[in-house]
Amino acid sequence: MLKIIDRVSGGASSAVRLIGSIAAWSGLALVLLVAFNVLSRYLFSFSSVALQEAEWHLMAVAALFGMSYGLNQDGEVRVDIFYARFSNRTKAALDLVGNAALCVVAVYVVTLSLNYVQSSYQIMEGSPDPGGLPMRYVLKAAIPCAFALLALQAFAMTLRALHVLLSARASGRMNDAAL
Amino acid sequence: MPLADVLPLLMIGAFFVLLLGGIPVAICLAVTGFIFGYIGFGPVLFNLIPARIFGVVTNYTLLALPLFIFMGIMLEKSKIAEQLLDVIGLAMGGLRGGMALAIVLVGVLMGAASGVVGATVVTMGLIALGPLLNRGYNRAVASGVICASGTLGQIIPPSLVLILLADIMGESVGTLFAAAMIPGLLLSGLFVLFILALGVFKPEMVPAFPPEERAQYSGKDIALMVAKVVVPPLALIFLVLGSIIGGVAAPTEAASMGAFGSIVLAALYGRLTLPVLKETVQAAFVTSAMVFFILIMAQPFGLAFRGLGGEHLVQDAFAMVPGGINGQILFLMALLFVLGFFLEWIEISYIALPLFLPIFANAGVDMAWVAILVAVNLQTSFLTPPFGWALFFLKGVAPPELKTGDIYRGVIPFIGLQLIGLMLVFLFPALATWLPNAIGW
Repeated sequence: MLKIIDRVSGGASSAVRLIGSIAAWSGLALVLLVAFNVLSRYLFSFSSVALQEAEWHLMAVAALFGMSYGLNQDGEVRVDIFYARFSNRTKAALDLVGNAALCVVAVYVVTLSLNYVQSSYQIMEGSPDPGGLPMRYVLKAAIPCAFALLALQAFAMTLRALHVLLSARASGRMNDAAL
Repeated sequence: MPLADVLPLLMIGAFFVLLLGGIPVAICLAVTGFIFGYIGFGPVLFNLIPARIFGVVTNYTLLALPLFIFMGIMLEKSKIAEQLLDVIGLAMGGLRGGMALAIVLVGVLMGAASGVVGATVVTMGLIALGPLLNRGYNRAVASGVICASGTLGQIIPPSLVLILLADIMGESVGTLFAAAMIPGLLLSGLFVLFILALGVFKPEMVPAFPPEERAQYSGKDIALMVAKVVVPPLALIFLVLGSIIGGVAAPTEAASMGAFGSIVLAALYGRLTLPVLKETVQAAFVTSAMVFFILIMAQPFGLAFRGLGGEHLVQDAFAMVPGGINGQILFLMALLFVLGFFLEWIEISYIALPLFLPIFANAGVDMAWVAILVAVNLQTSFLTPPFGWALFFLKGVAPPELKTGDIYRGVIPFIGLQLIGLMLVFLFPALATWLPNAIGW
């Protein structure tokens, strides 16, 4: 049982890690893209609506998919004034509750945003500006996709916390048996 | 009191409890927002959530954020900031508290460069905390100096807070940048005085640079290093700042120039290797992502707080304040200070401020002045335990032997200095209003 939990949670989080470490390069792309747009406009008076819209398209995708990767890399921000003093079991119990709640929230946002994407798709929404990027619903579809990935990451972290709890209990029982 | 009236208060209470329990901030915001919103008005309003999330992640002003973070982390990973700190520390010579002063100076420079509290505190926490502790600095003082200097970036332009405030208050970004210049330097000056005083009265807390380390360099060596190490980043900073205040480039554009410039600088120093680039890209991505994670998850919280009538609660309280406009400004300051304990500056700017601002605008108060008061106040909120962001960021990169309590103790004197600075700007509005008028904004 513990092994299965371990394997599922490990598999889920390495999937998130792979996607995230690729998505991370969008940050460099963003810097180069905005810098290119600025320089080409000031130096050569060249500007393109599509390239400018690409700036925040890129940011949106990076910000959305970054959520799960940030959690994967333990980047989350928490108040640890009491947490740091809790036993490992209490920490694992809190992680279990927090991550399970996050998983539920993420799934809920996926269901909320499906309608949002669908109504954008129905009107074939694109950029309102001439020369802008088409198919805005594809960008909007990043919201349910990213939150699905976030749910996966939260699920992996829930399992990991469960694993800690269960193995602490198992080793506790073994100690009892030894006594 | 009927249940509906106390729901916003219960929501804030529940948020506090979860947060103190150690649940990550973003999760606390989302969970309390969804649960209390659902109790108060059912699921209908939540259909707005996807559009609000989309609004956050496509906000052109916020685009400056990943760019400035990239710049800050590039300066850190390529060890440019570290050199800056070392050389300025050396140049301080045998002065007690010299390294702490170097941190304040680098805080001013990095603040001017990137304006992102997270990036500056993380950078200085990573590069300066170890050396400070190794050289015998008091733990609390070391962490207080780093957090406080890191937050200088919020008031010293270009700062994201000022960019957002300009947007909310209908002032130009250039005006606010000019208005923030003197108050920002004033605060830095207060920090410097405090450290010098510590050097006199508590010398054991802020020991001088060890003489044996200084003996390795002649005065000429140091001057040369200053020219090589301090001048190029300084030039980059003037480029970024100048183009914004001069009105040449929008803040986001200038941010991209700063980020691009940091890559060029790293290349010029011969430090732009693939591992450095890779580390920068990964770290900048995670840092930006965690900021956006909180902004995104704050959407259900903000929506629920408004939907439950939380803002009426605030407005009613405001209407009862005595003492006319000055009383109301002081009340606003007190309120923001308290809100700053548990809300993030973007939440305060976007949710709380728009409620109060019409009162001041109608009374004919100089909005640039109010903006600077608000900015100094929000800057303080980065430092106030238990939820100040600077504290989280420092704790995130600190070695485990540095306890949260050390950080809390360390920031308290700086919070006092900030409040003195706030009082000075309140009593002497010209500190904020003189420069923008003088350069004709």
